[in-house]
Amino acid sequence: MKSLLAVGRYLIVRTLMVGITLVVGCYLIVIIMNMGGKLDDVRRAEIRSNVASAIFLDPSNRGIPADALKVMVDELAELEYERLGLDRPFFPWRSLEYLFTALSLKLGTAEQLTSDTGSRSVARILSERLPATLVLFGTSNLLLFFLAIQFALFLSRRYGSLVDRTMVGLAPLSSAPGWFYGIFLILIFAAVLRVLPWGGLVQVPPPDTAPAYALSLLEHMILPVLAITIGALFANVYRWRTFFLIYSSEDYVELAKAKGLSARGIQRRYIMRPTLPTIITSLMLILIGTWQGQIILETVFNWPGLGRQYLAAVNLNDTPVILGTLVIYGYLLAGTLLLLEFIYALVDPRVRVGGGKV
Amino acid sequence: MQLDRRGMKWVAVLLVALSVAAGALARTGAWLDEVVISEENNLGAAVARVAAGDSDVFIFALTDAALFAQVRSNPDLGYVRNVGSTSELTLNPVGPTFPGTGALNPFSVPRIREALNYLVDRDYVANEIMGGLALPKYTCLNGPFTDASVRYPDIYNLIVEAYANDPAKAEAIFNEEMPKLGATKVDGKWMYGGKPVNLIFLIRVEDERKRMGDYVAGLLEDLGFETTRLYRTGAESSPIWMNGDPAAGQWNVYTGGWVTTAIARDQGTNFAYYYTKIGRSDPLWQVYENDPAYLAVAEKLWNNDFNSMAERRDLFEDAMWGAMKESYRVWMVDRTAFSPFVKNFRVAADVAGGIYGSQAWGWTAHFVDAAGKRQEGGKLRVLVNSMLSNPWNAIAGSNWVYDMFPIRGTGEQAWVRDTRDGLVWPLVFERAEVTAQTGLPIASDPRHTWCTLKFETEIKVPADAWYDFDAKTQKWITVGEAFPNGTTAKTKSVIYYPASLYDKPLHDGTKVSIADIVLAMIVPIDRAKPDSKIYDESAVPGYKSFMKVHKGYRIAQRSPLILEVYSDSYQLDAELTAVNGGVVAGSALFPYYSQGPAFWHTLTLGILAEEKKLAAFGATKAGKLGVPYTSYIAGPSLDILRAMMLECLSTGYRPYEPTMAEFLSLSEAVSRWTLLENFYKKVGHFWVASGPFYLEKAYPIEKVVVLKRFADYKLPSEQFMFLLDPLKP
Repeated sequence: MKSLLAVGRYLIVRTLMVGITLVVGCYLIVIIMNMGGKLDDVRRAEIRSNVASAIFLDPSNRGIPADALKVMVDELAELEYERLGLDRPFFPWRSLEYLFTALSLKLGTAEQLTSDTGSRSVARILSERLPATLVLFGTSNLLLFFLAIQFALFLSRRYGSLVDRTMVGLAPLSSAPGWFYGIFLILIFAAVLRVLPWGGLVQVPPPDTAPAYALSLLEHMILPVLAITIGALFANVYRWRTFFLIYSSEDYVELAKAKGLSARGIQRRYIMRPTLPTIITSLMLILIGTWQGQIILETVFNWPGLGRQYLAAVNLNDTPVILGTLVIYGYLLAGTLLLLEFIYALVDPRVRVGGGKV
Repeated sequence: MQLDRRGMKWVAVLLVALSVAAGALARTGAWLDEVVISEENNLGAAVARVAAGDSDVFIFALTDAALFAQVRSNPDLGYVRNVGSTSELTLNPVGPTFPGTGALNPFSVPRIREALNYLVDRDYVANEIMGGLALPKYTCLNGPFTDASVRYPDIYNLIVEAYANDPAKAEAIFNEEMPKLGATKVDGKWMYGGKPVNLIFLIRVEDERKRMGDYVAGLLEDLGFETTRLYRTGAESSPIWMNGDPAAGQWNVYTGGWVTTAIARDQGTNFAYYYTKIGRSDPLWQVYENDPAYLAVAEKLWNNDFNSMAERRDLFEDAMWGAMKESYRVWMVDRTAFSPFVKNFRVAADVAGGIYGSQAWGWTAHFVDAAGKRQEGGKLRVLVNSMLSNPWNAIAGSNWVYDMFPIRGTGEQAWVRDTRDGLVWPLVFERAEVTAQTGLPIASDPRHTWCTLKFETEIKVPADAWYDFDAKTQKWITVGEAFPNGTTAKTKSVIYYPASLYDKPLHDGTKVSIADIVLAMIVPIDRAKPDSKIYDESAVPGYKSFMKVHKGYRIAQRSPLILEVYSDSYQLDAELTAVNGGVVAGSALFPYYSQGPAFWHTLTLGILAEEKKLAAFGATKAGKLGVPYTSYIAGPSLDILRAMMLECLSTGYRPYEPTMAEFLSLSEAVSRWTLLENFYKKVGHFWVASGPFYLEKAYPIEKVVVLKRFADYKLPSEQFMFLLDPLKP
């Protein structure tokens, strides 16, 4: 009972702390994104300029008196100000409205963007792009993660071997991002060899049957997955290899070796087990990192994911969409951090939730 | 001999029969069978894809000089160029010192502003900075458009000659004028009040204007000025130069740019728009102080206040020279853009709008064989840089230029705009008669025999013409009711349609009816009425402007249809006057609204959805109501429209029945709803039009649009092929 209370208290405190961080962080984002309210002036000027140019430079408005056109500009600009809330001051209420709409996960309505199917609901805008992002980045991140772990374990058992030295030598390749390799992959496999597509989600026009669609999707994923993998694999392998090597030289591992335990057994019970919290943390962060996509990589591969959507929102100063994307990430991160606290306790006997000071 | 003659006769008969048969078999509508449009947002990759044969054309208007060099040097590629955007230097004329900072502003002096014209080397800007993708520009007229290139090239050329690059002359003027302002040159630097004269450049960073700004700043530094270069995006700079107080002294020079996506045949308003308070109500425009003579000329041109083209020429001459003296703007270049394609592709591209802005692409796009012979059929693979960013609905849907490309392929306006000179050719009507008030400067083009022009001292509007629409009673307010003492108009256009108009097939198997045209007159007006069930305040400003010049519609004859349009609006070209009189958020001559085609039955679905507050045509209203922004091609509104269709099908619904019942029979209504349901079942959308292509499917997530040739289209494919020929003088 006592430990349960301790766990409850601990949970409440942590949730409160994470919650406060989230609220403060989000409000800061709202303020920074809107340049402390100064963005309103920029947006008003932009709206007015666009409306005036559209009206005055439209040849079909020739013959309509200048005063009438000016009134038309004023009225249309005012309507747009009203639609975007620019007729009200940014502080305090409008900024708080942004914050509460996002935090409540209602997400609200986009100011400029529409979803691919034509909805202005932020939830829909994000949800329509989510599958494409998840399938690409989920696949590549998981592939990258498990490949890196496996390969790192393999290398940690062959410290100083030719394979190990080669991998260490290749690690700097990861200093270039995935999209950089993507450009070369496109040039080689699409432009020159013409064996793989240039980009996009599926072939054009998209196949009508689900199996054909899935096959086409897989084909279109090859290059971006490869680009992400090449861009990050070597550094990841190097990092994990070093990590495992540190654990491999612990006294209890040496003792196990001296006892004659098998290499796999040692790896599973004496290396993997104590490193599990770190591995799980890394995995969880990789998984939630999938949420935001990758702006440049999606652009290079013409991939209709959340990254490009986010960029479009930034370019259009679409606060609800930007905030929606970030708040969801914030919740995912906060939830993950809380969850990890419990997972650590489950997988590592040295850690106890709410255990207090030793 | 007799037999021979008879034989000849039979041969002749046979030839006639064969030619008739060939005519019957001649291709109609589009040359292409299919057009697949997809998105490629990476410009370099798009060009590479066309070069690699992965796609046939990239319709984006590219301005990248390196890509242009690639395309030009590739024998497998062709390209079209288009003009329309311009770059200039906007000058802040407040002064001699800025009240906000006390700093000296040399550009408060007209002669110094004018001197900049001599200082800048426009050829250098066009060829070196813009990489050859630009033409030197000296006046506010677009060099390739009608006024500068056709009507007054002589005046234009004299200005080019007079304001040719002459840095020495520019320096001499600066040296003459600066001391008058109290500035002195110390060690080659201009000083004022013991400080260097600093010029603040607001330089746009998104395109070549960054280098252009640096270039001009460098020239002024060479003349002894200190410069501060503020590099800003459009969004960052407009609150400063356009909406900020020019007297605050935050800038002296701004690297401006303007875009025109259609050929402007009358640029008479430019002199007031760019140089006088009349142009805009923004703070910068309000500090313009003009020479009274210039202002008078600019005002006359703005208001078309002249009685003949000869008088207009005189005004233009004064205005063109006068604008150079004012020089609130120093024009630098007419930008040219290009769109690459595979070498066996041909299309009528618009001088200003390129391929994406061509209204005639649907009829003219085709492939040729190695010998250059036109091919029938084929699939065109088009790349655009961005597409399907907003819903498609004809009233207030997407206005994105790359969405309008497929929309234009599926729809038809009453006319087709000539891609070469901006005039129009009739498409769904046969001919037009324009009557103008005596003294109006309107002329007709002798090549356009479909349009006749005559002048009358007074044009009375018939009392039974429709003037306005009563949203409450859903009935027309006639001219007789609105103007009990009668009214007159400046122009009257009589549009004559062919008898075959009502045989014109739509994509869903229905045919054009007069109800489509009447509804096209009603809806744009009704939406602007607070009593309307589909009232949308965003429609009000356009309606109010329209009513300033609108005088009446009249259906003079129902079959074949003859439509009369009375208006106070007119254009210099009789052909444009004929078709533009009935324009309010689209056209009353044929159901093509602001953002595309819509016939009465499909439009009714959106109207009903909006009446029931389930969806809305406009983004603003949709946002306010918290309902979907109506899309006819995809998304959540399709289910709503489908529900409306089923309701209409079960009741044989007719919109605006108090008026429309006269033009729309119950049987026609039932037939349309039935065929629309079949169409929806087949293709899964409600985008019904009458153009040479129909929308097979739109894939909004994958960003792909598939258009297919409309086999029932009746007009011959040859009809607009002349647009590919160069324009004869």
